[in-house]
Amino acid sequence: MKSKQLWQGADGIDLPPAIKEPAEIITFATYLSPIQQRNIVNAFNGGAYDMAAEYAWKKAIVKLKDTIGTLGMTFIGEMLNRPDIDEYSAIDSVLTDYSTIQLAEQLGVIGKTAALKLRQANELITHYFSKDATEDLDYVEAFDIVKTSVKYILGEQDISIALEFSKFRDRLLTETMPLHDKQLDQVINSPVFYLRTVITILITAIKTEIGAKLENALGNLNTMLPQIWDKLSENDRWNIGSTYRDVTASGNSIAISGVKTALSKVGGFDYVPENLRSNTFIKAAKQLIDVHFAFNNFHNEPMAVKKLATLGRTIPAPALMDCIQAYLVVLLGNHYGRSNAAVPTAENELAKITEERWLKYFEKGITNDDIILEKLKHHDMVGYFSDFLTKYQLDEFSDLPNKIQPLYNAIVNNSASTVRRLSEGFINQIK
Amino acid sequence: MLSVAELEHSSLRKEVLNAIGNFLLMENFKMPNVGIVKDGILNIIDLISDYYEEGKPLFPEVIIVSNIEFLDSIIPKIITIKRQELTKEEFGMAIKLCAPLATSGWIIFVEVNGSEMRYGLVSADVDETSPSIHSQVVGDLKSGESEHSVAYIRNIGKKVVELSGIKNKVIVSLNLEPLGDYSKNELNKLCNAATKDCDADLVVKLNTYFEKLIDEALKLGHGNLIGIVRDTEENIAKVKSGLKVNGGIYLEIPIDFQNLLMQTQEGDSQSSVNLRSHGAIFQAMLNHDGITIMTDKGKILGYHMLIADDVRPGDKLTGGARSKAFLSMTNCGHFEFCFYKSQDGNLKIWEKQ
Repeated sequence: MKSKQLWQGADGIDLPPAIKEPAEIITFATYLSPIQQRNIVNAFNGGAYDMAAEYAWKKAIVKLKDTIGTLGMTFIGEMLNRPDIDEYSAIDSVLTDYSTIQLAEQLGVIGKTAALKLRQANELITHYFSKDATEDLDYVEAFDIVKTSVKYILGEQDISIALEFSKFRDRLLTETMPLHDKQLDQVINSPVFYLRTVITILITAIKTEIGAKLENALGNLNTMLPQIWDKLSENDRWNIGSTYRDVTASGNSIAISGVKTALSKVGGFDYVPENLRSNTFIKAAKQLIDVHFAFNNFHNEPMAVKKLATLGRTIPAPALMDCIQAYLVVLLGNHYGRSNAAVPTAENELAKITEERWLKYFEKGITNDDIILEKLKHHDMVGYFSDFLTKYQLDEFSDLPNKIQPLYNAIVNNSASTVRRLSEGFINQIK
Repeated sequence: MLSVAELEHSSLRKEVLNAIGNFLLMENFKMPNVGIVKDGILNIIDLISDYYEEGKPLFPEVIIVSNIEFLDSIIPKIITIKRQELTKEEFGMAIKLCAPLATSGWIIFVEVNGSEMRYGLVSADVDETSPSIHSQVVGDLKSGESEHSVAYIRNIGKKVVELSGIKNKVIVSLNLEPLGDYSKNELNKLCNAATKDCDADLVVKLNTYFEKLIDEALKLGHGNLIGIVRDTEENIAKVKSGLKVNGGIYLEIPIDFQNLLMQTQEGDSQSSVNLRSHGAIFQAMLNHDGITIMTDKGKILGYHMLIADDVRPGDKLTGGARSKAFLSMTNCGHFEFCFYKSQDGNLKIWEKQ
């Protein structure tokens, strides 16, 4: 069955195609006060293009963060798979610009195109504001960043969490839905991206709610899990297993009973972590990803990758996908290159991962890994991955699932255009 | 003169073996050597009904599974002691080797797999507040979804052993005393009363915690009395001034388990150690002579309270001093809930109507 998107954010306001001047575009930025609008235009007029772009960008990201923040920090922590985030964490300190865009897309605050354009703008900003930048942002690039900020965020009158998402979230916690409920059926047949969000809503409620909301979350988990287990990514499965561990540790007998029944139905106890050690690895891996997508990434990656590498020789199973992803972003780099000081550590750590675990990554991880798939749209990065697999004799897997083997073969053979096409296909399936 | 045909031979062994056989059938134990398992369980029941090691009573609990995978759902830590061919004698050896180690949440497991068996120790303690293995496997938190079979054996009184599975439970009394009431879930009711007025988001967790903690204490004690009072400033003052006791200690600052538990939600190890330390002292108080007084907000108010006799005309008094104290507790008017465990394991509860 072809999957449908359950909630979809807006893809920006309509701007006149001929618009070319900052003064014209800024009048559409209804979120900004007249003084703020004037500041941006003045910066352009004075040749301070970087200041203009940064100002508009910061305002846009703050607006996105505010919107996402309305869902509560515990929920955000679960969405980011960051157990260290709780209700008292400050949103500014936990959400990078990159993760803000990712979450906004996932929650239907912005649409797919908006997310793509904003990610590109973010990459430009982080590059030009990094120590390694050898040139300044020019007029065209600055104008493009401002235009993207206005079109997708600052010009939107009522940017908010998608109504369909909010309504469905309410339903998940206020009623136990029957299996053949139309909306539930739609969720069950939706891409991993949406399943992850729904699972996150449920496990957040299971950990934090009591009474009817807890009962409903458990009821809905039990209805849904057998239907979606095969589609869930490894990380999502570990999240459910970790939830079982958490509620068991805290003695929440109602939640233990409900999650236990759900995991029994799918034979999911293999995904219950024995201890909290994996949380430390996951946190360090997420921090490395944050650093990679933030300012001065080439300068900061060596420290962050070292921090992850020194946690221990063996990566705990629940953290495996996160750690491979984190080391790979360093190995593959970005449009502007790689962090030369960080790459050897990342490569060394990736080389330590056993063949069996790499096989698992290709079987179950890569096609749900939108960050790596995005990188594999670029030929340089395919080349780095291909070199690595060949160098460490990880280039002979031949029994991968039918859908995945061609992608693996294309990476190994450094066939950048094929990898790009196949990666795009998988990204579309995820979202 | 009686003929041989009229001679009646009443055998406790035969009776118990029959009960175990029915139990195994109900629990779907289908391995070819189920007869050996039946004899092995009998051996275990006999041993743990009154187990001593160097003069010290021990209360090992034993779980027999048809496949170790059954334990996956309790997040187990497993230490294997021995693997060998399945024999009925080896069940007894498992108890002898493992019983001294089966403390602090560790219980004995026996996996029977075809003609092989392995045994050792298993723990399900994830945190201070995680529920007991008994509760997770055959108690309130059991799951009926597993394809594997389980038998859980534990001592619940002097010469009295409980054999539980997913579907049924058998109480085996190896004494000739009248049957006690063993299946009214008294401990659960006590814990409900002790958390009745706690914060809604902590009630369930505190209940689980108390159930495990008090259950462990009851096993080690020679009999216990626990009384629950309402937690208002006015009522506590009234109890302290009105309850007639000889001796006993009211704590200057009551131990507030609701608060201790709330602190552990932060997930730091210090809070967990703090809860464990106070849990240990509460267990020691429970096993001191006299009544331990708790409030319905999960606080420990006092212990070692030797209540003055308050026996009314018409009261039916059976048993010794502890029974009389229990009767006095129910008569005095200060308690909302009273709990009694005799030395031989009988339980009684009373709730104010």
